[in-house]
Parts: sequence; C-alpha cells; structure tokens
Amino acid sequence: MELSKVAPTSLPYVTLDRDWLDFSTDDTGELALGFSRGVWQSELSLVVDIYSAKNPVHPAGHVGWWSWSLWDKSDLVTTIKRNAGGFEAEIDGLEPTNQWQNPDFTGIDEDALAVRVVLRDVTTEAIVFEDALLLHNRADSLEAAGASRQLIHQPDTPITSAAWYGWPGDTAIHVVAANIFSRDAVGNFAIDLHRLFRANGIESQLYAAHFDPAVRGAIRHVSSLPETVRDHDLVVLNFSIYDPYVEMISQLRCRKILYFHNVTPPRFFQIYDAELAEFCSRAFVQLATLPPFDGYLANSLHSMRLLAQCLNSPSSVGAAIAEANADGEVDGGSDESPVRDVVVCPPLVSSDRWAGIDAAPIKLPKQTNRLLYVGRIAPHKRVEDLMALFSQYARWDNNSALIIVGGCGLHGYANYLEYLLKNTYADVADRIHMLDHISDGQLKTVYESSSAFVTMTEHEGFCVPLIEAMHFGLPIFAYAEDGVSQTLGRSGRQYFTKDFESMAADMNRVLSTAWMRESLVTRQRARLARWRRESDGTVLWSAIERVIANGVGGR
Amino acid sequence: MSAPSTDTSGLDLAVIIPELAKYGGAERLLIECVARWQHRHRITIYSSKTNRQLLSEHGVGREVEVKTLSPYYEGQHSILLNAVLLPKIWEREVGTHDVYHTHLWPTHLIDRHPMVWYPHEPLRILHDLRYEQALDDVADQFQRNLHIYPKYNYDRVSDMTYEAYLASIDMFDKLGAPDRIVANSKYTAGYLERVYGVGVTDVVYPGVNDQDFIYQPPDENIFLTVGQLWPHKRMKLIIEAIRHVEGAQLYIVGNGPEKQRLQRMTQGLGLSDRVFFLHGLTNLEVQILFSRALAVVFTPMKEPFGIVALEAMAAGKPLIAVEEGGFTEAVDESCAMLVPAEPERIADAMRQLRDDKERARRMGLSGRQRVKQFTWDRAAEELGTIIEDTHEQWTEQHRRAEPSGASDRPLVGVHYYCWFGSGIGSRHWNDTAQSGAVTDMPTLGFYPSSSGTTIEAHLRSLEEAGVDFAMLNLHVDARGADAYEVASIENVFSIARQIDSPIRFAIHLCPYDCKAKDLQTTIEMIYRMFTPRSSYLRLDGDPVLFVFWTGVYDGDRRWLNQLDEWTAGFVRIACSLRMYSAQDEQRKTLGVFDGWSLYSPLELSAPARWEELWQQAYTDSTAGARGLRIATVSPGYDDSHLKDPNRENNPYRTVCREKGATYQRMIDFTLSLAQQPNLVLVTSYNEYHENTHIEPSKTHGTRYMDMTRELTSKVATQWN
Repeated sequence: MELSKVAPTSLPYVTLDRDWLDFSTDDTGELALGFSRGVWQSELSLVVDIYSAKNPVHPAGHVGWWSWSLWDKSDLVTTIKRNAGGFEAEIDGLEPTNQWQNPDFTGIDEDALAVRVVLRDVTTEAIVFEDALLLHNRADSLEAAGASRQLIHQPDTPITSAAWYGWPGDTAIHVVAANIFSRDAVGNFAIDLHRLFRANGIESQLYAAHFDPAVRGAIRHVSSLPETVRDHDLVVLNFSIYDPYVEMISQLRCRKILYFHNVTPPRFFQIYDAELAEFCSRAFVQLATLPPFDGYLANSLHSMRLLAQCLNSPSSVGAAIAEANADGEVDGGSDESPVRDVVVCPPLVSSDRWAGIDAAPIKLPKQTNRLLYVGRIAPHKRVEDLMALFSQYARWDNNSALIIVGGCGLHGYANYLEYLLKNTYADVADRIHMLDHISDGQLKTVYESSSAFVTMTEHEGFCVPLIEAMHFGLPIFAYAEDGVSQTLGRSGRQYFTKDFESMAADMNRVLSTAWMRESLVTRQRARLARWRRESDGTVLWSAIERVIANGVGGR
Repeated sequence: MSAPSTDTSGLDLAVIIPELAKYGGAERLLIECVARWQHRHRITIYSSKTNRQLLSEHGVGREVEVKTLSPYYEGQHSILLNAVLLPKIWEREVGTHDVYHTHLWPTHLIDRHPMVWYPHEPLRILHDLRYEQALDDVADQFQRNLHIYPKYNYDRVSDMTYEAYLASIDMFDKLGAPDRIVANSKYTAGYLERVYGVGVTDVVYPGVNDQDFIYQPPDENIFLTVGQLWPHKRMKLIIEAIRHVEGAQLYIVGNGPEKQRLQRMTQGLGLSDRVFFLHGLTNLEVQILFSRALAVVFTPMKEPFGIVALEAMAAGKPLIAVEEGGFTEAVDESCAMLVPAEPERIADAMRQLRDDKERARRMGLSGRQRVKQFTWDRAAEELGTIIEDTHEQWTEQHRRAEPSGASDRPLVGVHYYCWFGSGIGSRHWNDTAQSGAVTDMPTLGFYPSSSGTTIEAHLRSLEEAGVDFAMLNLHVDARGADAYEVASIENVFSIARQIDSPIRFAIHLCPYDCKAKDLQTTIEMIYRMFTPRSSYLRLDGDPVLFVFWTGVYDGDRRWLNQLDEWTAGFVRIACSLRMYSAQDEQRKTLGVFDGWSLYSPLELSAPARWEELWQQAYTDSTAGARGLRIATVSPGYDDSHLKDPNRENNPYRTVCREKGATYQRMIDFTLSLAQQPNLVLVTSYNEYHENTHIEPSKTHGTRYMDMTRELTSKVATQWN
C-alpha cells in the first residue's frame, strides 16, 4: 500500500508500536516510540505518566511520571517495569531527567492502569501531544477490552443498507472526531458511521485525539492519519469543537467531508471548565479560516445556518458568531433560501437501535409518575432548571419522581448540582434520581417505565434523546431552544420562557388529561415517522456520492 | 426664614458617586447602604452613569430618586478636566438637600454642606501609585498612562506635561472641605490623614452577605482571584506563582486595560491551559466559582480595603494574600495566609493548600465564622449614624450662626429685570415700540444688566434700602429661556457672592407661549443652576419660585399638571395679573400654587376701590397650600407709550404716581394690615416699560428708593 504524500503536519507526535501492554503474565513491558520529524529540533521533553484507569486524577489516582529531554536522540524503546514498590520506566537504559512517584498510591494492582505518553514544551511545560494505552494487570481486563473493541466495529443491532452500491473498491473512509466516547452524541455518530460503512463493505477506520484507551486499535490516534490515508480515500471529519489537528486534516490531498454537529456556546462552560470554553470559542474561528472541504453536512437547519455563516465570511465572522451564538441569536440564511454547499443531514443512521436491545432490570423510583431526562449532564443542558421545574411539579403530583440519566464530565458542575440537591431542593431530593453508567438494556427499561420526557436544554445541535422519547411514546415537555424546536417541529409541548411554576401546572394538566396527553403523543409519532424517512441514509449517501464523483480535490 | 430640618429620622439625603454602573467595591457599599436607608430617609442618588437595574436587583426601590450628572470628559486634557472642572459642574447639578454623602474621588470638591465623604481611597496616582503606572506600551511615544477610577480606560498624557498635570490636580485636591471623612479601614484612615492633614477617626468597614454564598468543601485545585485588571492589582504575581504550582488552575475574574498584556504573559509562560480570564459573569456564576475554589488569591498593592477578602471568607475559602492593605485588619492566620508580594512565596502558600485540603477546609470554615462580624447591616448602621450626627452638628452650628428672630419679620422683595442691553437702542432700551420703549432713564444710564458694575450698584442700592430679596425675572417664550437673562442672573449670583451681599434671590418665571419641553428644561435648569446657591431664597427650607400668571393658562389641566410635576421641589407663588377667584380658583389653577400675590395692584380698578381690592387680594393670598400672606406695592403704572394692541383695552394703562402719593398710599395700606404679612413685594425695581420702577432715575431721582427704605424700616420695626 502506497502512502499518500501529504503536507507534513507541524504538530509533533509520537507513535506507539502497540495498543496495550499485557502485565497479566509479566512484570515488564516494552513500547517502541517513533517520533515525528521536527521533534528533535524543538525543545520538547518526553513524559511517561501512569494513572489509575478508573480514577485518572492527580494526586489520588496518579501512580507517577518520568521525563526525559529529547535533544540528540532518535527512535527509542521505553521499558516499563513493575516491582514491589510500584512502577519504574526507562528509555534505552537512560535514567529519566526527572521523575516522581506517588508514595500514597495504593492501586498498582487495579485491573488496568493508563499509560500516557506526553510531549511537553521544555520552557513552558505546555502539553503539545498526548496519547494513551492501557496496561492490563489481569487477563479478564484484557479480554473485556477486546470485546469493547469488537463492539465498535460490529454492533448487535441492524444497520441501514446503502441504496447506492457502486463504491470504488479500494477507497477507504476515515472517520475522524476530536473525541470519541460512547454515550456522547458526536462519538456515537462517528461510531455509527463507521459501522454503517463497514456493514456496507467499505473499509473504514476511526480516529480521534482523545478516546477510551481500552478501545485503542479500534480507534487510532489522529496523528497517524496522514500516514495511512491515500489520495483516493475519503475523510469524514466530525466537527463540534476546536481541534488542533483539523488544520492538518484540511491539508490532506484526499477528499474530505465536514460534518458539523454545532458548537456549544462557550459561556455555558466558562465557570466549570474554562479551557473547554476557550476551545469552543476557538472552534468558530477555526471553522471560518479552514481551507475548503469537498462537502459540508450539518445535523440541523439551525447548525446549517451557523456553519454557512462561518464559511461565507471566513475573514471576520468567527469571533462575531461566537458572540452571537453565546447570546443564543444566530442570524444567517432562512428556510426560504438555504445557503448553498451545506446539506442538512440528521445524525441518525441506525434504523432502530432499540429493536436489538433487551430491556434489563434496574431499580426504579417507587413513584409511578416518572419524568425522564436523558443526555449529558452539562451546563448548557440546564439540569439545575430541571430540578427547579420538578420542585414545582412535585407540588402538583405527590406520586412523581424525576429520573436524570447521563454522565457528567464536569466535576464542578456535578458538585453544584449536588449542592442544589442537598440545599435548595432538599425537600424533593429523595424523588430526584441521577443514573449514570447504566447499560442500554437498563436505559430501555427506564424509557419504557417513564411517564414523560423533560428537557430544559438551552443549546442543541439536534438532540437525539428527543427522537428516542418519541420512539418510546413519551410526551415531551421542552424549553423551546432552536435545536429542540427544529427536532420537535410542531410536536411536543414547548415553552418559550422558564416560568417553572406555570410550566409545572401546565405539565400536570396535560399529564392528567388523557386526551391532551394522547394528542401530544400522536403528533410526536407523526414527527418521528418523518425523521425515520429522512434518516434512511439517502442524504448521507448522496452527499458522499457527490464528493466521490468529483474526484480528488473536488472543489 | 427657617433653618434646615433637624429631624434626623427622615433626612433629605443626597448620595453622590461618579458612576453607579457596575458592582465594584465602592458601588456595592453604596447600594447596600442605600437599600437599608431607603425606608428611613428620602434619598436622591446623583451619578454620571447609573444602572437602575443594578439598584433594583439589590433591593433599592423606585422611591429612591436617581439624577444624572454630567459625564466624564474624554480626549485631550480629560484627566485635568475630570479632576478639576467636572466636580464643580456636578456641584451646580446637585440639588439642595439636608445632607450630602459623597463617594470616591473627586466628589469632595463639590462644595455642599454638611458633607460626609467616604473616599474609599485618595487619588493614589498622586501618591503610592505615582510610579506604578504601566509604561510598557507608551513610553516610546513619550507618553504616560494615567487612570482615575471609575473610568475604565487610560488617559494618555505626554511626558512633558505629566508632572504639571499631577501638580495641578494635587493642588485642587486639597481644596475639598468635607465636614467628615469616613475611611474603609484603619490603614486608609492613616493614608487619608497623611494626604489631607486632617484627623480621620471614623472607620466603617464594608460588609458581605454571607448567606448569598454557596459553601462547598474544597476538592479541586482551582485558585480564584477577582479584581479589575490594572497594574496595581498585580495579577501578574499570581500568574507567575501558579506556574510553580503543578496541577493547579487559576481563574481570573475581572476585566481591564491590562488584560491583553496579562494574556500574552500567560501564553508566554505556557499557562494557557491553566490560567483563564473570565468577565461578564452573573452573580450566581461568580458564587459558583467561589464555591469551586480551593483558595482565593489576592495580591493588590496596598489595597485600601478589598472586599474580595470578605467574599473569600463568606464562601468558606482560605485567603492567600499579600501582607499589606486594609483587608489585613479583617483576617487572621486562622483563615488567611499573608505573604510577601513575591511569586515564589505566593506559590508556596498555594502548594501548601493544594497538598493539604483538610487545612484549606478548616481555614475556610474559620473565615466563614469570622466574617459574620462584617455585615452590610452593621456597615449601613455605622455609616448612617455618622451621616445623621454630622447633619445634626452642622444644623446646630448653623442655627447658632443665624441672627435670632431673622426669620420672623416680613421679608421685602423687589421685581428685578435682567433683560437690558448696553446703551439706548439695545435690548429693552427703546429697541422696539411694541415692548421695548422707555420714557425715563436710570441714574446709572442705559446700563447692561449683565455688567458686574451695574449689578454691584443695584445690590448696594437694594441693601441700602433694606430690601431682603430680589425676584429675578426670567422669560420663557417660543425660543425657550432667554439666554441673556440666564447669563445675567448667573452674574447676579456671582457678584452677590463676591461682595458678600445679604440680598437673596428667587427666580420669577415668566412663561409666554412656550413649548412644554422648554418650560421643563428651564425649570430643571433653575433647580440645578440656581437653587443650590446659598443666596437662593428659601421658605421652610424649600427654594421659592415665583410664577407670572396672566390667566392665559387658566383651566389648562395638562399645562397645570405638568407645571405641578416639574416645580414639585419649590415653594410656588403666583404673581398674578388677575384677582384670586374664590369661586372657581381650583378649576382654574388646580391648587398648584402655594401662595398667591398680585403683580400689578394698580391696574385692577379706579382709585376709589383700591383699598377694598387690595384687602381682598391680601386675604386671598393665604389660599395657597402654605398659607402665606403676601402684599404687593407699586409706585404707579404707565405703559401708554407702548405700541401694543394687546394693551389698548386696558382702562388703567396710566396710573399716576402723584409725586409719591400713590406709592405712599400702598405703603400705608400695607403697614395697616392687621395680620403680619410674610412677604411684601415691590413692583418693581426696574421695569421701565410700564414705569413701575423705583430705581433712581432722571425723572424721579431717589424718591422711591427713599420711600422703600422707609417701608422696610417700618416693616422691620412694626413686625419685629
């Protein structure tokens, strides 16, 4: 296989020669490290960092770190050894320049540890590259990781077949996202695309800068993309946040499609994760300054307008849009005159992912009127507003509970919600149930046993859980945010202001009046049928077809 | 005249602050205090920029009046104009109140008393921050940056004039004479004493609402600092420190001109993924950030107080701070680590807390307990008491200084016209046949009303005649207020002050077919420009406004309601051409007027009925809301030389002076009144078109001034 002659990336990187380290039978593992051109001329240091896989935080879950200067070196092999006192690392027999081992760390026998390989700027100590793999201490951990990798490639649910099948035999598709994690909308969609392509006989590979090291191999570090992509291949880039590798991807000579998932306004994150907020801000600027892709897709009309606005005024619009978006006001295009070159393609490619999933038991609240929220626990989802709404609703309905299903990646936000539960909403806290790490089968049980779906989100690109709620016949009560409104259409019960007292009264009236509830669900069913028709893959395949037909550098 | 109110339970309180737009330390103290005082005192806030929503968010009700002062100057010389000129402009825009409570610099240059000044800090660019202004971006342009709070940008000054600017500002700074200065800390009190050379014994610490804060025990390595991004806030120190605290993040909440420099520095140190700049947060978002912080870091240079320290304590967070400034009086080692202003020492403290979160938790809880003594309730109570005491002491002194009984006898005033130009043929000296013709000449010649010489001669003349006040006629017509009269009136007040004249003044407003907007503007101008003067005539503490009433607006409810609203702060006295109508005066004038007088009592009837009508008018004069008794005297009347069709139907256009007999008849009537009048008005001192003047003139000599002297003398003797 001849590799593409791509423009060299300016980002330094390290390649690892394996996807995991097996310590289940041995106390020593070797990892060959390859370095990108330029690393030797820059003032970088190499750091090998080991954390607990299940609690990768400093200092509680930090095993230790070892660092080496990279001046005047070539490709190296790092050796990691386990001994009675913990771990040690060396490179080709060289002692590390600096090292630190956590004397208080007690988890060296945990099922798996995470080994991070990091490049840092010597002067500023800023991280310029990082990749990770798992060090498995037990065979069953290794086996479980293998099963997870297999699931990435081949789900146990049906896949939509391609209506178009004249695929060029040696053309592979490379599906890229900044982060690929399950239970995340962007990650799920990237994985769904990958499965779709493979199910239709197309060679496909996933890439990300950040992903669960347990599935390393099924997903590759994005820095390896230039070395594997060929001129006649296709790259599908999922864009939802600033990604330093996007510039490199945009310079690849192969054909490229950008799928826009929208970008969360930074104001939602700034007090909980200011770095993430900064990445959101920079995403708009990055979009506006990228070289053209061969095709653009967006997950909703709302996202399409925003993307088109960025693309059509690349010199100056980025920052302005970031501001406008932060205020929830996006002005660009209209229903009557959609902007050229961006195609709306809902992020739905599985025909019915629930059909192949069996409901699994899970402990449910004793209250039988259950309001359900499913989605990320993130500031823009306004989970605190859900609590405020439920505290009002609970006054109407003694037999009610609120179930919140989702993971929270923002520690500060999780703490704030916990504070609210313990203080502001202490009187209803025992009726608010927060569930994380539940299986798809358990989630199916929760959907099937709930009375209504509620969301107070203030920013959505598409909002897949609304489709799932429609599927399970749950009446939907939602704040009328743009993305939500476009997904719901004229279905669901949408509120334009957050007057929780009157919203709660209205919800109670609808849920306790059979014909109102049934009418709501009926409209939702009609809306779902329309989404199903639009999600048969036609839009996606036709967009790919157009790009493929246009050949290399089609625009 | 009565002295100002001594009732401290309900003061008319003026609160003056340069800007009230954001929720900084100074603004917070003012808002929290006003919110607590508003039900006790009548409060008017003066500010060049006010965020009314900010007030309402913090419980300040609509009954607190807000008035807008002139804005800050921008551009060349703005720093000097803002330091020297602007406070004197504000002085003229602030109304009359019982007591003045001023905040920040340079509001102490507003010459109003009694004044309690809470400066928060002196103008530090003159002293400890003189050599701490950022030069990096401007030195190569031979310029310097200067900053005066609350402006949000630098003023640029050339090196050549930098010292001259500061010297000028320094000189003016010392001219302020507040009656009491209150410091926000003992540290600031000492600082103010050194700067102003006066004792500053009152210290009122700011407070904090600890119940507003969310308490969460520390479990993240987040350090928080809050403050505006100026060089002396020394955010730079914290950024340099966090570099040496691995695994920690720094959140900087605040904005300012140094932001870009600090961001460049952050990038240069490779800290972009650990140091974050935030601003424009809601109160809730700031509270959440406090709750997430492991500790609050605060390193400003000699901060006068520093509310951030109290906020850290209220949020239950340990404080890492420099060992200088007012806030050090509020903390102790149980809740704060005070260190020298060195990055490594700050970093060391940060590392200690990063590695010992239990210690951070204990310190936070200790601070949360300690901060309970720093409440806004306490601050408002202490500051409120100082303001009330100051008012009481000043009033007591003022009462002792006023001659006894001075307020009991009738006051004699004259109608005074400022409309004359310079020389015959100029304005009002025979300039038009219809309204400008004259038949007599003042002894001073055809003088200009605006002339200082003329005004001083008139004031001396009035003083010699024993006149108490002059009603300064100001005409408002379709073109608005007469600008020449306004300028002349300003000169009258100034000359009176210069020569220390005892004559007092009130405006006699004469509306003629004017637009409502112009009338409103004129009344506001009178209120702002003239009523604050100490020589403005007041009755029961309120400024007096005479209104010329021709009867044209009788029954015009809209016009009258507007007049009522716009003149609400005045004692309003009608100077009417018609008699008071006992039957339907309420319908005609809606009870707008507090007092009622005749402007021209000789035009009412033939001489035979004069005494009867004057008596009726005098009796009716008490019909106003204040029950004032007002008599009017006039030497004669003759407008027969004016070619004005509107005057032709008047049967009494010529009322002969009878060589003083007419004037004497009126004086005798006045002195015969059974009930003592409050005011005796003379029409007029210098109305030459209608020949009602008593001013010494070619035709009449000093006869009428001599008679007026007798009138005032007898009034004083008879009713003293």
